[in-house]
Amino acid sequence: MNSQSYSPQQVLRAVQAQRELLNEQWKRLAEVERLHNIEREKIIAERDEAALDLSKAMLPALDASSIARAAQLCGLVGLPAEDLPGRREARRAFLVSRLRTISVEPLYRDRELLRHPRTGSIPQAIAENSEHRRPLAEVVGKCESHARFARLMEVGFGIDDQSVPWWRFSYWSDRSAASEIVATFPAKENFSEVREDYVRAKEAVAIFDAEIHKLRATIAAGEALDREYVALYNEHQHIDEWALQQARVRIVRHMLEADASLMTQRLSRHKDETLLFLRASGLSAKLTYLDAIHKKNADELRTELNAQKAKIDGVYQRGVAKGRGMPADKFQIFAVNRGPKYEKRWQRWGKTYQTVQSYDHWDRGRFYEDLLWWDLMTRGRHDGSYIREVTVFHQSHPHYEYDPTPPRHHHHPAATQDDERDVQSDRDAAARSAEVDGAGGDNDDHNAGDSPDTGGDLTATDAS
Amino acid sequence: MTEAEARSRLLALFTEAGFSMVEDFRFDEEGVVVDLDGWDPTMRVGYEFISREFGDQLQFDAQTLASFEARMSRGDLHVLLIDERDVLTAQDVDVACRGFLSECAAHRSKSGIAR
Repeated sequence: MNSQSYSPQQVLRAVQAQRELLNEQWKRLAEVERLHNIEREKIIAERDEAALDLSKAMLPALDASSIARAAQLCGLVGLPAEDLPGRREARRAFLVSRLRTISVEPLYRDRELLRHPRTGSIPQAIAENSEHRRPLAEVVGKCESHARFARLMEVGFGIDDQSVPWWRFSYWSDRSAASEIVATFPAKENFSEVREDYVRAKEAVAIFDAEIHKLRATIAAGEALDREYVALYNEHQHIDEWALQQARVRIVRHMLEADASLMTQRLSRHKDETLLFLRASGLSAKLTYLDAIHKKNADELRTELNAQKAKIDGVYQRGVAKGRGMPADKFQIFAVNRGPKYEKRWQRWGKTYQTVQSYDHWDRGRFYEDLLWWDLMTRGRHDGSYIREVTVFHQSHPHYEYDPTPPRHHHHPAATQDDERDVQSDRDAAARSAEVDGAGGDNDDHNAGDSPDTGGDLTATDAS
Repeated sequence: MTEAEARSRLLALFTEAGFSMVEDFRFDEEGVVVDLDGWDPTMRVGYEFISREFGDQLQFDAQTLASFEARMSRGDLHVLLIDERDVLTAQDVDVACRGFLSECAAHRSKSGIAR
């Protein structure tokens, strides 16, 4: 090895340091996964609560006028024609009728007499049949447990002793087997008698089995009736509540799947419903965005960590295991501390994630004719092109540009002093960001690589 | 037990019963040519393992076996036939061999041949 090389021991120390750094990153990634799962559970609960509040405001009751109002508000035009109250009453009538029918079915009505596990006539009949079956099954079992019994039956041993001639070895083996089997039936003198008993017992066991199977099927049918009755009774008890809930779910699902800005426009004259919708819509979007941010960054980091591991393993194989050491130029590249690079990635990821996570000014959505939650949450300063929903929005709104101070706000009939303050706060925040950007302190997705990190940390306990 | 062990046991039992056994005897009578594992040419008594392994099934094809067994039915000769599918235990071999020999003696006695 020349003076320009590093020894295997030096390479080993560098490999160990790099592996340690990788392990730290894997641990941090696992912790981020855990925290993301906690966060998404929290958002799901908030979103469901918001959707419930919205659904209650949209459809307070399942009557024709409430349905018509909700349909008109959210644009679910076919809903009134479905006659949900009428269908609910038809279902109620069916439930009443079916419950009456079941209640007079003997198998249900007389369930205690018929099916009580200890005193019911059917379980007792099963017990009796089983009792009669037992000695017959013993005969069958005893015979069939002998390895040669099936062959003896097949060759007709005991019916025609000459079917296998005496100079065949199997003739004698058959005789021995038959003797052994007969010996297990003290009352029998020869195999013919055993065979007759076996055939009779086998037939009787089959008859008992069929009967027991039929009785058990009757019990099962009765139990199915029990279950049906309980389920239908429960439905009957809650039919008003459940029918209303089903209709609400349909309405809210339709609203959340529709274009948020169009839905906001439809609701514009109804401030309460608008605000409830924006909250539910925004929370749904937040969940989608956080999942996408997490997935993108976690996938990229995993790929990078795996690639780095492969590199380290390669260096170990060549430089340590084979004792070759490493040339100085390569060693210096390999041994460089990648900690800051990973830290920068964590900061960038954390900043985007926390920007979306902390957003809760849902009411601002009503100032936008083209509402893209991503831009509201990030003030248009983060690239969201890796999020399908964001891309779809841009495709369907080709002329869209994010405006941090939307003109619609100035003329919005429902704008209040609070709204004015919110928008002013947005403007101030945008101005502050611009100042920071100008000073080179920003690290959004477009220019994160050339500025120091000041963003969030997904796992750090000390605030960045 | 293996076929070799069974053959050895059969040889001992037949010999013990007074037969002079020739092993691997070429039997050639009335157009039937087969190799018997054990055969007493004088008493016309023997034993044979019918196993695919040694090509016996080629000799003991269905026709040969039928004609061989027809001669046994007539009492011309007596050969204990053991199929390779028969499970061989020492006890089974003993029981089958003694039963076979006792049956041979009964037939000889019926036909007036002294043993």
